[in-house]
Amino acid sequence: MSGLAWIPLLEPVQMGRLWWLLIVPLCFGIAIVYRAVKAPSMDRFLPGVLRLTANILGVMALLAALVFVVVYGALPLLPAD
Amino acid sequence: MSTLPDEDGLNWFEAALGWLLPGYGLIRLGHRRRGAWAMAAVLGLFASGLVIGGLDSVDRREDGLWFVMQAGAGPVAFAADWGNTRLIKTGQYGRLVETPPSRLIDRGAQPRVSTLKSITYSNEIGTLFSALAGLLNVSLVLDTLQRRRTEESGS
Repeated sequence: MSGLAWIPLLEPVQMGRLWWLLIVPLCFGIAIVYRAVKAPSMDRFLPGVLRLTANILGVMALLAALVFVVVYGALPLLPAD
Repeated sequence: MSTLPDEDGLNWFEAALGWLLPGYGLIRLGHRRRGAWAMAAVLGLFASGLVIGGLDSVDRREDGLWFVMQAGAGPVAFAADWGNTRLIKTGQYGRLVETPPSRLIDRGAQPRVSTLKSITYSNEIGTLFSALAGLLNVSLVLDTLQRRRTEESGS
């Protein structure tokens, strides 16, 4: 399917190798609703949302790094048998 | 500002409005900015899911458990499922082709599927976006149910 012929809603997006970047808008949306429910006042709402989004992404990146070290660093050291 | 319920009880009407149009229940309670942000987030996530996975990412019959979550976003989920059933599964858009034999083992699988059926990452991420939008709206509806009415401009 050519990108030029893509019909939104009817056809799914052809995602390349950067599909995982969609975690950013996903976390942003979750952070907005979380802050909308939890924040006692709407003062400095957007900075709070951005901070929460950054926190979620930071923790996810740390977990990804940890899994990377385990899979590519620790597991190959185990005996094969 | 307190989030305790009104003395008269829970905001059932506003909660129902919040399910029909995400965030609108909060707006009706006077929390305009809060409701507008929530509405933008839930509808934005749901629309993103539809753009990423196509209408086929909302499927009441084939992905029933996912649809339970997606239905939390309100009538838009039912509209998307209706669109999927009427436009894609009937072959009105795209072509219907024979289902691979391995899928016929599933009792729910159709004998012919659309060439517009979304698969792999597109379908998974589109479904995830719309399901999360539904779950987030459920939390908004529960919040609307017990949030105190206000007329504060900055709420």
